[in-house]
Amino acid sequence: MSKSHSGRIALVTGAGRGIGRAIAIKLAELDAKVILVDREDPGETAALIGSAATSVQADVSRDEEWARIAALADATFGRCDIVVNNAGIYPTARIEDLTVETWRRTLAVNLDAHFFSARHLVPLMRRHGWGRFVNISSSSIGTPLPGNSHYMASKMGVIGFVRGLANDVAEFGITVNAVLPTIVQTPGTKDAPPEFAESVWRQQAIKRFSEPNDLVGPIAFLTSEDAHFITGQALPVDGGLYKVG
Amino acid sequence: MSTTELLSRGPVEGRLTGKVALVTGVGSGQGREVALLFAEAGAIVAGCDINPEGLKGTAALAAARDVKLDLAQVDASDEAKVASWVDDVAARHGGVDILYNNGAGAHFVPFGDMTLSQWHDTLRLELDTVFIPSKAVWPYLIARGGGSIVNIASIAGMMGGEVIGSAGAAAHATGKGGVISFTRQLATEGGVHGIRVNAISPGPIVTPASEAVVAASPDFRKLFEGMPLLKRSGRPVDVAYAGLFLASDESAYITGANLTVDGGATAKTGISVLS
Ligand SMILES: NC(=O)c1ccc[n+]([C@@H]2O[C@H](COP(=O)([O-])OP(=O)(O)OC[C@H]3O[C@@H](n4cnc5c(N)ncnc54)[C@H](O)[C@@H]3O)[C@@H](O)[C@H]2O)c1
Ligand SMILES: NC(=O)c1ccc[n+]([C@@H]2O[C@H](COP(=O)([O-])OP(=O)(O)OC[C@H]3O[C@@H](n4cnc5c(N)ncnc54)[C@H](O)[C@@H]3O)[C@@H](O)[C@H]2O)c1
Repeated sequence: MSKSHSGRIALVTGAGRGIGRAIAIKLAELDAKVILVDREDPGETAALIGSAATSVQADVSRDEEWARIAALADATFGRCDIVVNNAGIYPTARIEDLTVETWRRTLAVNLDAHFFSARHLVPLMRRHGWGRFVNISSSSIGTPLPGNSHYMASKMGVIGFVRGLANDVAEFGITVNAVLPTIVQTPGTKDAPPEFAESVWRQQAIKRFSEPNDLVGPIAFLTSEDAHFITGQALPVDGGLYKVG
Repeated sequence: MSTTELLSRGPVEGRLTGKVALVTGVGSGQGREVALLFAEAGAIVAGCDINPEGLKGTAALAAARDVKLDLAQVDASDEAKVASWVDDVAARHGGVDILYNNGAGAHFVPFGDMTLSQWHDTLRLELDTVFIPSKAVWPYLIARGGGSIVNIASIAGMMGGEVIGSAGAAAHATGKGGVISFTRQLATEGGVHGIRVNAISPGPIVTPASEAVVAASPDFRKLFEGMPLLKRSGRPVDVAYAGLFLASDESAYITGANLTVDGGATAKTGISVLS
């Protein structure tokens, strides 16, 4: 059987673990070649995927790193069709404890990186008149929690950027959408108290703690040909948590 | 433009294998394309429409595409008829997994001229057509341990639209906004039963219904064709593939969502932050 992502080159950031790893594995299963970007060596994910994976160790919050990533994609494949901006950080701090450094770092990793990815990869997508950006936001923007003002600013920013970018690149056959997970069981959330996670997923229509694999079907869809009339949208994948229309 | 034109696309085979799907309004436009696509994806598809001519056309297309459709003439706003249709389909196919509420209608009249009876009739055509089939399948979905309901709303339920010529949308927009709210609430109530409920809000989609309006007014055509960011109008298949995704287990963790399939029309005009 033919596969939905045959011939595609897909770049996933934060692919070393958690949600990013699950996405990369799924896209490879659908026959894409995947470029794994992570600040830490994404070797474990690469080993799970095999020969369809190419690893790049890079900090996505730095513009010059994106120049290097784009050059590698171009030199290795001559193209890049799909970008999933997943790398993100979520340090909590209530406003009285929120430092300028944490604020800037959160915005840099969660939002600046999305701009840099577009700056460096839209030109490669334009060559083939086809492209897909899926940027990970968060359902928490509709269900605020204390200690997350910087995080919510970054994740609301993701949606604003998605809408703006969708306007700029539509004529090149490039779509741009956001996906909003609820709290997900990942290495990044494993140290949070279980009762905290439960207090979130108990509010969902689907009452269980989300896993990275819950995200892969929606991201496969949005990066496929099937979704080519969908752009500038924000899709919650959160078991029905999002409450504000 | 043929409504069966295939623009995508990825493989569909096997994506709904073993599922029994009910689709309303399969005699034309989007509903027809959805019924054919779901059948190609392996579902047993039962479709209804009020229009017998439309059903004949759909049956002919099914034969041409070599898929089986179980078709019936039923008005989705008629409680008794829908109940017996759903009971009959469930009995013959052993249950129900998917309901796709697509068939709807509206009176498009500027507000100043709109009568109370046009308002009521539009809400019946837009909302009763969603409530009644949902109610009829609900016990079957519970008995099955879950299922997926997809409601067709519209970007008209998310944003105001200019009145072009004589086509005001106050009643239609209210009905479609209601479909989105109904979806969110039903998702919340369905969670404990494993029932997912999502909406799709299509933007401008070229169908017999929209073509009639577009053909009658150059101004409307300009508005319709100018809405998407992407340089084309939508096709029934664009919505059908989104429907396939939401009906299938690929979207198992999505419920209460409103997936906008509008070529970016809402991102262009900038409405609420989320659907
Ligand atoms: N887990 C959740 O509860 C949850 C909920 C909503 C949204 N999200 C979002 O999903 C995304 C992934 O979250 P996760 O839980 O899988 O995270 P995680 O911490 O488990 O994994 C994130 C990965 O990104 C990498 N990374 C972090 N900063 C980077 C940088 N500057 N450059 C390159 N790589 C970097 C890390 O090394 C790590 O491998 C994030 O954007 C997060 O905000 C997560
Ligand atoms: N075409 C668009 O641009 C557009 C945009 C947004 C939303 N929609 C929505 O998409 C859905 C399908 O629209 P379409 O454009 O394919 O229209 P269409 O007129 O081509 O097809 C609608 C079909 O539904 C049937 N139908 C209407 N009321 C029914 C009822 N009570 N019971 C059973 N069948 C009934 C009609 O007979 C017709 O065959 C509708 O809900 C419509 O409001 C359409």
